[in-house]
Amino acid sequence: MNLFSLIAPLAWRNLWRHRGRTLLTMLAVAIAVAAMIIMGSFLSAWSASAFDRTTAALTGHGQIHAVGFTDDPTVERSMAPPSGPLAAALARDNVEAWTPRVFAPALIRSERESAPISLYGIDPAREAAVSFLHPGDVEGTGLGDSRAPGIVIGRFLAERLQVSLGRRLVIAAQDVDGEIEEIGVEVVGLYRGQPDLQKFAVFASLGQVQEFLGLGENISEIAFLARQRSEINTLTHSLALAAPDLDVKRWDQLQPFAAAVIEMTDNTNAIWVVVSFALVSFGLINTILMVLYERMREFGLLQALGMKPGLLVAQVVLESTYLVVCGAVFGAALGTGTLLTLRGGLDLGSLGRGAQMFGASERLYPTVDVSQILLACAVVVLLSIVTSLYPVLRATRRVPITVLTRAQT
Amino acid sequence: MAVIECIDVKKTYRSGQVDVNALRGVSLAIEQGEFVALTGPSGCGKTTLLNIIGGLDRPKSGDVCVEGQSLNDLGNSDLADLRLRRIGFIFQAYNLVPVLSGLENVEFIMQLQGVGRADRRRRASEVLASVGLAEVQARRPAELSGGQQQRVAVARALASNPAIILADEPTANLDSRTSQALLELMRELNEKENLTLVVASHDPKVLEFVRRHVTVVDGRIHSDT
Repeated sequence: MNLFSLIAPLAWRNLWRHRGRTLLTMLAVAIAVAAMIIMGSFLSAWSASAFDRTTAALTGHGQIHAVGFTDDPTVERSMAPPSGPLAAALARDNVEAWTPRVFAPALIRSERESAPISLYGIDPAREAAVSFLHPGDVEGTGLGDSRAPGIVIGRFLAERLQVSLGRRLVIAAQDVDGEIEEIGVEVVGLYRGQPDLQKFAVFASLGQVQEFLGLGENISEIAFLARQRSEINTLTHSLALAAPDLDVKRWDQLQPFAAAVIEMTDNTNAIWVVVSFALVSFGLINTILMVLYERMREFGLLQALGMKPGLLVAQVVLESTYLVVCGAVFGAALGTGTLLTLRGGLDLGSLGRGAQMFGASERLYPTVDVSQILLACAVVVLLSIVTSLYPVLRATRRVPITVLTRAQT
Repeated sequence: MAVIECIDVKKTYRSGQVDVNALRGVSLAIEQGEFVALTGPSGCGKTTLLNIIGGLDRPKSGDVCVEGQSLNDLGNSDLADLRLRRIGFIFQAYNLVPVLSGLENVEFIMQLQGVGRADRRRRASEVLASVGLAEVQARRPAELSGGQQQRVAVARALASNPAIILADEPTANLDSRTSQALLELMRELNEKENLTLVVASHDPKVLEFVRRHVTVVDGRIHSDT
């Protein structure tokens, strides 16, 4: 006998015996799945935003320095531009982009104010591919090429120095021979983004800063991006092998505090996901148990008529499967649809500053992750099937008359 | 050999803090083709005895043999198989599957037995026609009267070609005219098909139709005539 042909239509009809209740239960399943998908995506976006914000500041996915630079970042600890095996390693496919920089602690002075700064010499085109400093985010003409004169400063620093575009400032820094040098420069750009950096990071062209500090062709650091986040470790390792005399570090080694905050946020997110999954699951379990316990008498009847316990269990599981699969498909569509409407970004608004404290941007970009959708559906379907097993197994372990009569009272 | 044999069957229920002796050692033998009424006051144990004979409940001690097979030796699955193939039930509350039509309710047992679609449909139609329900086969239980539902239950019990039919208060929810018709149908089945029927009932009218009357009082056989 084809048992499936016996229980399949019966299970389907049972499902629609109480149309309103079935639709409500399906809606509960759908909301559970959609909530899991949306919550999972939102938290993933939060984590990705915190990572992007940290690495896009200037850190990149990793950096290469002369040995000792990270402990004592001075002009003297410089290195030659990449060549030989290191240049070859940086040209490989697993490197998304890289950029050379010169760094020096310096003092900047306007007619009214002065401030300590971090002076960066950069290659503007390469820098745009690695960090936040895109030409579009800079007001003014910006740095045209790697030898162009002028500096780009943050808006906060400009407010503090009480200067605007076109004004001249004086920068003083110690050169490679230990002498204090001064240079007059024009403000050619004001950058937005990265509020923390705006207070102290000043950018000039690489050639200009190299000449100012007497570094020749030498540079202070190379920042690089891996093609994929998952490839950072491998790439860092291969670059370390290509440059054994230099110090190659990952972003989390360079920014341990930021990495710890992101890790803590990820862990908190994971706890939130588990808690929200648990809350949703309890609601779902409660609904399914209520529906099935109402039908204990029927389970007793079917056994009394001669339905074997295994077949009864199969029928109830099939019924639950119909119910939750329909609900899960609807929930997946609802969750995906919601995420698609948010693909332009979710403005956290008043949460923005709080979000930044935990490393995230003011705007999150939730994405549709198929594996997350499948996971949410699988969790709900499996949970429902396991839940539905409990009452029916209980019914099959008792003699039919107990199930029939106890359900009556 | 008796088709049903009860050997010193005892059954105790727990009701709150008190043990209630529903059956206090019932021994009874019923031969093939008998039409037996179990009567007695409420709570005397007749329904309990019927449930134990049908394998819906288990005795505390003693044994029941159906066609020579001890029910004590059977697990839940084997008992379900015995009920499916050898015993038909008619319940007081009809107990039809609400999502199936009258015809499908009758077919359901045969489907469990593995009877092919064409054969079971033909047999179900025949049995329903024999209980006077040829016109309402497509209706679901909620669309049938109490009498019609009980007749579907009888048809369901008959459709599987059982050796024994056990009926618990089959006329309790029926008017006198429908009760009369149902009892006449049962007597006809007993006489024509040589079916063994055991009916637990309060209804004195039942006694007009049966050939054997067993009275149960306080969990014991009081009389057997």
